This record gives sequence, structure tokens and C-alpha cells, in this order.
Amino acid sequence: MSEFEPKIVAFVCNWCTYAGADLTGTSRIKYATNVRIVRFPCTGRIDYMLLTKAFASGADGIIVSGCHPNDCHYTSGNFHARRRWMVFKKLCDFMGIDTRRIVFSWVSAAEGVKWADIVNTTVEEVRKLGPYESYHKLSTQDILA
Amino acid sequence: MEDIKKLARELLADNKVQLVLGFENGTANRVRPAFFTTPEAVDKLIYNEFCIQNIALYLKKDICQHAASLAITANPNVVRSILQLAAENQIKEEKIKIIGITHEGKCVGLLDFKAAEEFSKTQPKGLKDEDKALIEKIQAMSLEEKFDYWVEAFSPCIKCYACRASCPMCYCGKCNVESNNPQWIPVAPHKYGNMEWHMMRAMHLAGRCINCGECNRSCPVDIPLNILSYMLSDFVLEEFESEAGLSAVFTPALSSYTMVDKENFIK
Amino acid sequence: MARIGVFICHCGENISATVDCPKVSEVAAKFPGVAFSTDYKYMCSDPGQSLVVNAIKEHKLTGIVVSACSPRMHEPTFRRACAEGGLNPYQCEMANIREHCSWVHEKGDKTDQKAIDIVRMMVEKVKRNNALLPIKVPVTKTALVIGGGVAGIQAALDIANAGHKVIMVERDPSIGGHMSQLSETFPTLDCSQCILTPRMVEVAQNPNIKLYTYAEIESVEGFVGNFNVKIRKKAKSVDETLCNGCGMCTTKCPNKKNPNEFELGMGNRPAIYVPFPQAVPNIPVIDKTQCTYYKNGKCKICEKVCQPKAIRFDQEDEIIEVAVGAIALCTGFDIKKTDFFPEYGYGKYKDIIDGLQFERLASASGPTSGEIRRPSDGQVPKKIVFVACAGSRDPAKGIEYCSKICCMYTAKHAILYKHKVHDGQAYIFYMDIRAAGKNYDEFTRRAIEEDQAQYIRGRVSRIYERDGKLIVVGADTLMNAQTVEIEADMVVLATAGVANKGAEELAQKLHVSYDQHKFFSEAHPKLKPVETNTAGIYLAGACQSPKDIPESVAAASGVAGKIACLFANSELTREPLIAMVDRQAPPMYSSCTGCFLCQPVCPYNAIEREEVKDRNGNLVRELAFINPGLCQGCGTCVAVCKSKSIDIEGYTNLQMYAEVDALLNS
Repeated sequence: MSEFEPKIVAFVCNWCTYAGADLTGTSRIKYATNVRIVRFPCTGRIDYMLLTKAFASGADGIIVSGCHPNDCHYTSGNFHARRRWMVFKKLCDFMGIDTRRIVFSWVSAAEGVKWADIVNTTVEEVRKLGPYESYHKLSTQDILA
Repeated sequence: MEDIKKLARELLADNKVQLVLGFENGTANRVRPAFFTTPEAVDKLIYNEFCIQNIALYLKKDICQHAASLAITANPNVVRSILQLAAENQIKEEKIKIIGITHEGKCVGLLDFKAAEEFSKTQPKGLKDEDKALIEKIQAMSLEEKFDYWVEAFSPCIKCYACRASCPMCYCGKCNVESNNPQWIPVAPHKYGNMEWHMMRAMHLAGRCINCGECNRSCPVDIPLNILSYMLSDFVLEEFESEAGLSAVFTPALSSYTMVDKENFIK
Repeated sequence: MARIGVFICHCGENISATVDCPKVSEVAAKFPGVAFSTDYKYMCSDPGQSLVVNAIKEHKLTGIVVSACSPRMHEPTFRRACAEGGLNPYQCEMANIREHCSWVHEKGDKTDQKAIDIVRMMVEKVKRNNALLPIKVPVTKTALVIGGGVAGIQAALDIANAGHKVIMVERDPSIGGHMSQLSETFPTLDCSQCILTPRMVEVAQNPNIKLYTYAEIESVEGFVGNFNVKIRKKAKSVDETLCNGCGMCTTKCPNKKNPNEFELGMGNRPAIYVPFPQAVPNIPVIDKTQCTYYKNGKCKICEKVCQPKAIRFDQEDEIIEVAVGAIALCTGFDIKKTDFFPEYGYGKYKDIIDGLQFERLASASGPTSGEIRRPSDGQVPKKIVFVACAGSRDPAKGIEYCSKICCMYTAKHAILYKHKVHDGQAYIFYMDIRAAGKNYDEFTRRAIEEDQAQYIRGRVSRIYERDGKLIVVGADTLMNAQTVEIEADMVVLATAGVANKGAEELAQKLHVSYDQHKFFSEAHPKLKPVETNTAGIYLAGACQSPKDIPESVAAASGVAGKIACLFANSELTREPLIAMVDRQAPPMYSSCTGCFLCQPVCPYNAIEREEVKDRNGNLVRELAFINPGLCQGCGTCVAVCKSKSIDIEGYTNLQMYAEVDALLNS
């Protein structure tokens, strides 16, 4: 049996992390293929409903990443996002949703190396944790079961 | 109770308000919310230890929305709700007269918003010891146990939305759960839909819930929904020094930020 | 029914070396809704773009996915091609299979699969793209210049000379700013007044410039091209239309012992005054805090002597409303006063002065008519010590930055001193001599070589008084940190340049960002040095950070150029990727609940209250409305809205949901 390949979805902002991931590319730094990047204008736009949606749809891990504090293209989107994540993380922790599978990070447009690093470590962490079956099962279980 | 009645009668007799929102005796020794529009009708108005429902809920209903002015018999939970609704631009001070009633059932007379803010600060939140104990019990569990606990707790949920219907803060005309394009939350009452529905509701109420516990009381299958909000309220208070229901001019925690918000969880 | 075209680019070998492009194209062709799929060597080349254009027409495509490099690279290119093919340009999405795939992975099935997933995701997204029209915003071709120092003057003149109207607002009774206080300017030693006053007069006489002095900004509303500004014109107690500037009032005013702000307290002025002889406009103001009439109700001598009868004791502040299209912020800076320094006596020694005070002493029009004399006893100082970096580059004082102008003006002071006190000796304590600039280093060399200024490298730790002398204790770090003690007659501190008074309040009124030192922030430190983050508001001069005159003037001309570009068209075109609140037919009107919890999260104050009224004019609902001219499209409001009543074009809820769905449920 082949090794478990985690599915990672990355929700990133356009101005920092997306550009940072572009730089990883232009610098030809290799990283794991497991990640799929979804581009948002700003971390402030990232809806927590999409995170749970991703888990339910089969993601094993999630990366949420944007501009460092004070670097936000829109000045404060990342600050609002930071607070939202704090609360969301707290709720997830309380409800037993595995927040080890959600990696929050700041990756600037200049941090191509950091992006590769974040992806690689996330993939390895989630690989160790295994498939997120308990959550996947929620959505696939029969209603009457 | 007599002073509450007297106040209500006077307000109606002097045409200061068009209706009074309060309680009356229902069938089978129960109490029920009622609207009183004449001084004579106020004879039926009651307030006793069973009048615990958060009737601030009805302020967003048509009958109250269409009334030019109204009064409400308001225990501390109702007062908190009114302040939070005002902070969210859902009710205007000039329209509402608050007949303040303490947890012990003592009438403190009419409260304007400023007095209501003072009143709210002196009245403790309606958090019960067993709720605190349950929060602590859950927090002590392992990740898997927590998850199993909630999946199990939500499993009898039939998506009747009584929690939403009884919550004064769930006033959206179109609730997100009704959205089908995209279908954010599956409608069927299965484990996934239940989990996401209750998570979304907890997030929407984070920093806004005034902790009346109505969602739990109204739940026909006894899901301890209130503790999700209690836990988040505590967190919001601790982290952001923000508490809902204490002021009519208030920006809830999730609509604001500070430069020093914690980010030790961010890589 | 969607008919999507997928175009897989090889990018030479940049993509095709690792990703099997024909295979991706083949798989993509089978995606639901895909009507056409192909791969090509260089999609961005002319033939590549023609391929896209022709395919749109030939296959009646409703949207395209160009699977190539980052959208940050070629999105505009393919939007144009999309439009050329007859589609709305926003029916185009790019699948980034180069930066995010071929360049970061090795050749193999997993990489191919990733490319396929990325394409599938964008196909699902583009199916849900809306046709969008660029937003057109009208432009009011009048500029507001806040601040009448050299930067403001330059900006105003340049804009006015480009043929546009300018409104200039200055807080003080006269324009001129700090430059009008300077004696000579480095590195040429030409007299500051001589080069500045003609420009001040030009401002007053230019028919395109409307000048409001003794006025401040009350409020700013609106957005780029369409600002509404309220200006508070403070009461001068003088009718400007009547006053002819004869000066009788200032001469006859009996209340003459008021500290003169322009001379930094080193001279006196009457209660009715013009700040300096060359003031523009040459119209006096009454200082209400000092005027005998305002204090005691008696006097009115100025009224009696005023021939044109221009004195108005009952004049009140006036609020003037103006509409402008762009704003130039040129509010300048301030310097730390000597009382900021405990080690230099907290300002208690009269003969320790700051650099600006020295300028006044050296100025021919200053309190000593240009003779260098000690403020305490009027003696000519024979030994003078200049302390550079007083406060600057000192994290312990909270000012870690270099104030930039002090090295040069301290050298200038030493030169001026030597020119005026031939037998005097100037000592300069410095950390580094920062003289980068055209003819700047030559100038400091001149101070050292021709005018014998003695430079001592080290900080001054303490200054105290002993027998009428100021004992300056410092270390010479080039002499093994040996302690140096100088018995000086006078000390000049080159105190740190700091943000001007009221900078923070002004920034908040204008919604521009500022740094921890309250200097206004530029939009980009390198590529947008004169823009702020708020569209239509620009920065010049020392309100951004300490700057010398040539830099301030250059930035001001830069701002004027930017504003002239903005005014070159009568309408602004903006990308329509903005948020909006849903609207429906009555009785729903909108799913917006009017909670306005979105309002505080908007960084641009773009969310307004819209009142829905019935036929009788009664308020039915209050709804959020997003001003398309202000919204920059961050989408933070979208995520905050509980009823999902706000959505953002380009990243709609449907699109984002579809992307996630496409990635995982395949």
C-alpha cells in the first residue's frame, strides 16, 4: 500500500502569501505537491465556513496564510482575520476539531523559502496525524446511521 | 408585581407607549409572553419566577416593529439583550421603555439606556454552576473525546431551529442556513449538517451573545448549546476585554481588533 | 450553459518540462462545461493570444481559463485577449501552473494531478464569474493642499500652473513654514527668505490658487476624485477684504510683550500681529488669548487707528465647505524642544538653544538682527558647541531614526557662526557626518577646513552651568573615548525632527495611515513614495519623515505630477472587483439586517448607511451600502457579515465555495 498522501488546502491572500508562493516558484524551490492554493484578496476575506467545508470535503490539513501584521495591503484585514482565527481556533479546540491540522501563518511576498517550509512541515505533520477520518466521516455517514 | 403593573398601566393610560410586552398566565399553570395594549388589559400582566423567557426576542417581531413605542418588562437578560440590540442598530432608545426587574424579581422602575447600562453591570450573568461544570468537564477531555461528545450531543438535533427562533440575537431576516446558493450548510439533520450549523451559530454569536441560555431552554432535545456561547464569551472577555450586553454603544469583538492581539498560534 | 475554453501554456519548457501539458489539456476537455481545450507553446505570445481570441469566437465560449503563469504576471494580458474575443474581460481566470506547480515540483503523476486540480478549480470558478464593467468615478479637478510650507507652496504652484484650481489651507497666519524662519540654506548659503518669499507671493497672486490662512481642516469625507472638505477658518478679528496691511494696528497696539512664536520665544510681538514682515497674506490677526480687549473688555486701540475700519472683534470662526478631487498633505514637521533633554538641563539654561532658534539668531531679520548673541545676557559667544543627534538615533529616547537634516544644518551653523564671530571657535559633537547629497560633503569639508569647525566624534553626556559658562562633557570616541570637557558660552542642540503637532488627528480625519512616530505613511516605501494608502491623498515634505528643502520640493513636484495625472481625465476608471450589499425587491429590500457590524472592519470607511423609505417618506429600513468609489476590495466585510448579505466580485461566495468543492470532491 502506498504511503498516505495528505490533501492540504491553502487559503492565502493575494498580496503577500500568494506572491510569496510565486517567489518560491521563481526561485525554483521545491516543495511537496500535496497543497492546493486558493487565492483570496485578503485574509480578512477568508471565511471560516470554507475551512470546515474543506475538512468535510476531504482535506486532511489546511493552511491559512497572509501578510505579516502592518503589511496588509488593505492595512487591517489581517488584524481582523487574526482575531477571527483566535476565536475560531478556540471553538474548534472546544469542539474537538483537530486544530493541529490548521496551520496559520504569515508569509510575505519576500518569503518564498518560508512558504516552501510551511507547506513541507504541514504535509509532514498531517502525514503523521493520518487522514482526518473523523471529520470526513461526518459528511459521508448515512443520515439514518 | 404590583409596581410593575402600575407602571405598565400608567404608560398605556398616558399614551406614552402603544403596547406593553410582558407575561400573562397561560394554560396548565404556565406563563406565556403577551402584548398589552390597554390599561385594563394590564390586569392580566404577571411577573413571577417562571417568567424567565428572554422576551427581548419579540422586539424584532412585526407587532413590536410596527408599534411607534412600547414598554417591556425586562429582567437582567432582557436588559442585556436590549442593549446589545441597540448596539447593533436594531432598536432605538426613543422607542422603548424598559421596566427593569432584578434577578430577584424586584422592580427598579423605568430605565433609560444609561440607567440600563448601570443596571446590567450590577446584575450577574445568568450562568449556572452546572453550565460551568460542564464547560470544565469538556475542557478536560481529550481531542477525540470532545469531538465524540459533540457529535453525540448534536446527534438528536432535528434542525428545528428552536435555538435560532428563541435567540434575540438571531434576528437575520435570511439566516445563512437557508442559503442554498451556495449550500453552506446541509439542510438534512445528519451529523455533518448539525455540526456545521451549531459551529456557525456559535461563531456568529461570539462576542455578541448575552448568555441568557434561551437556546438551551428552548431545545427540545436538550443540547447544551448555551455552553458553546458561554465558553466563547469567557474567551472574548479574557482575550479582548469585551463583553456584550453592557452598553448600547459597543463594537463587538469580532468587528474590531487591537495591534496586540495574540498571535502565538501563527507561524 | 457554460462553454469554457481551457488554454494550457507550455511556457517554452518552463511548464512542459515538468507538467504533461497535452495530458492536462486532454483531461480538462472532459470537465463538465468545458467546450474547448488546447495546449500551446507560448500562450502570451501574439499567436498564442490569437489562438485564444479565435477559439472564443469559433467555439462560442462563455469564459476562459488560461493555465499558465501567475495571474499577478499576465492576468491583464489575457483579460484583454478575452475582451478582444468578444467576451467580458472578467470572464477570464488564470490557473497558475507555473509558479505554483511546474517550478516547485518534480516531473511526475503527482505534479500532473496538481496541475489538473488547479485547472479544474479555475474552470469551476470561471463558470461563476460575472460580467463586470469598470467603475467610472467623476473627478473634481480642484486640489486641496494642506500646509503652506515650501512643500505645499511648490505643490500648489505646480498644480496651478498645470491649469487646475488649488485650495491651500495653512494653520498659521502666514504661509512660509519653517523655511521662512531659516537664515541661510545649505549647501549654497543663499538666504532662505530671498528664495522663498517670491514663491510665497506667487501663491498669493496666482489666480488658480485660493489661499486660506489661519485655517484648519475640520473634516474630510468622500473618496478619490470626490472629497468634501470642511475648513475651519479661525477668526482673525480682521476683515481681510478691507485690511490693506498698513501696519498701524500692530504699531499702536499697547500690549507688545507677548512671546513671538516666529522667533521661538526669543523676541516679543504685539497682541495684534503679522508673524514676520514678509508674511503672505500681509494681514494681521488678533491673538485672543493676549489681547487686552478680549481679556478685559477695554482697549480697542487697533480699531481706532485702523483707517479702512477692518477690525472685527465680533468675528467668528467660519466653516467653509469645498469639493476637491485630490489632497496633498504637506503639513511639515516640528523639532524637539530643549526641555526634552534632562541631561542638557531640561531647558533651564537659557544659552542652550535648539537649531531653529540659532537660525533666528543668525537671520538678518531675527531678534538680534543677525548677530550671534547669547539669549541670557546678549554677549557674543566665543566658544560655541553644536550637538548633533540630540535625541535622534537614540532608541532610549524613543527616536531611533536619523533626523537627516541636522548634519548639514549643523555644518551650516558652524560656518555662519565663523562668518559672524571671526575670533570664535565652534565645536561639533557628532555620531557620523551624514552628508550624502549633491555638494553636501564638500559643504561639511568647508566647515572643517575653511571655517575651522572642530568636529568631535562622540555623544555629549551632560551639560551644566559653572561660573556663567556651560560645561559640555562628552567623549571623543576617536581618542580612546577620552572625556572631553568644553567650557562653552553657548550650546546649540540639533534636536530631533518629529511629527508636527496634530499630525495624528489630521491623519485620522483623512483616514491615512501613520507610523509609530506619527509621521504619515507612504503607500509603498520605494515605488509609491508620494502616495498614501488612501487613493487621492498624497504626501510631500517632512510630514512623511524629516526631509531637507530639495527633497521636500522634489516630493512636492512629484505630488503635483500625480495630481495632474489624476486630473488629466474627467473620469477615473477603477477595477470593479469590489464588495456590494445585496438588494432585492420590496418588501425584502435586502437580506442586510442593518446591524452595521461590517462598518468598523472597513479600512476605507466605504460602508455607509442607506435609508429605505416608503412613499410617505417614513423610514422602513436602514441598510449597509458600499460606496464603489471608496471600496478597495479587501472583502473583510464579506467574511464578517453573518447573513452573507455582502459579496465581493472576483471572489464571490459562490466562486470560493466552488473552488474548494472542485479541489476536493473530484
